Amino acid sequence: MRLTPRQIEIIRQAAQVAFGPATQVWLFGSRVDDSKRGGDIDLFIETDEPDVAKIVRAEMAFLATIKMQLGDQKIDVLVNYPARTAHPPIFEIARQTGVRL
Amino acid sequence: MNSTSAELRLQDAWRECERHVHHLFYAMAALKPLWPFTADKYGALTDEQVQDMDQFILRFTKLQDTMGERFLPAILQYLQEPYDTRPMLDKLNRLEKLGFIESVEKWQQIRSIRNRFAHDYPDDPEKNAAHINLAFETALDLYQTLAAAASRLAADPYSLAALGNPLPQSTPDWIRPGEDGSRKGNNPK
Repeated sequence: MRLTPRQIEIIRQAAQVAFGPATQVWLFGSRVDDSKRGGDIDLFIETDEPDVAKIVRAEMAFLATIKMQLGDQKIDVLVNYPARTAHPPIFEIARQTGVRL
Repeated sequence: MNSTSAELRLQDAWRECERHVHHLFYAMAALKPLWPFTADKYGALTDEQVQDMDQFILRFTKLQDTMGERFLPAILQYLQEPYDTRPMLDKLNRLEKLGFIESVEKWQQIRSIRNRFAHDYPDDPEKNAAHINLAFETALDLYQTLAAAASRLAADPYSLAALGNPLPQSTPDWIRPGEDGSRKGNNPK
């Protein structure tokens, strides 16, 4: 996995502050692969927050926090939440191939 | 940069922001009957409403870009702050200290809202609707940031003679923050 312990801690903390303490975060995509270089930070987040208006605010707050602390990197976030109606295949792939942070 | 060209640059950026606000508010007024959006309402827009929505998204994006790339840096230049070659984050921190933006964090959140418009997420209609509601609310924040900057620059100690055309008088003040349900339960009415 190509994230430093400090980066992992920043991402985990920011996710829990924004989405709530029960939030789980996975890193997936090219950053999981040690043989590659650079690339977007692809994150898969699972929250128990039922209210979608709160989730969208949480996502913006989360992105703002990590960009302020990690610098302006390209970060892609997928969020799974209880009220979500569609679960595209990328969700399962992210969970299976990803690394829990 | 001498003070005259700094002033011209600031006025030029203001003119662009003012135009974006104008068209942004026009699109929002057209969509007012649908606010706050839900996944169902957002999914059932007529062709004409989609045009209004596209206009909203385009102008929101451009306004945020213009403020961040031109207007806010031009304020620092006008105030002769030596931040020209510094990273954006340094500029934002300075602007927060000077009181021209509410906070760096808030500005970065607005930036994230703008960035999410770069892609469509057809498999997440609930969140798309919630995102539009948040962007509507945030359009007022951008307006207020501009209005506050204008009145500060006009007053002591800056005393800028004129920025350009005033912002629209009539604002989408029918948007009540939190009415999209995000503050359910702690929003006494």
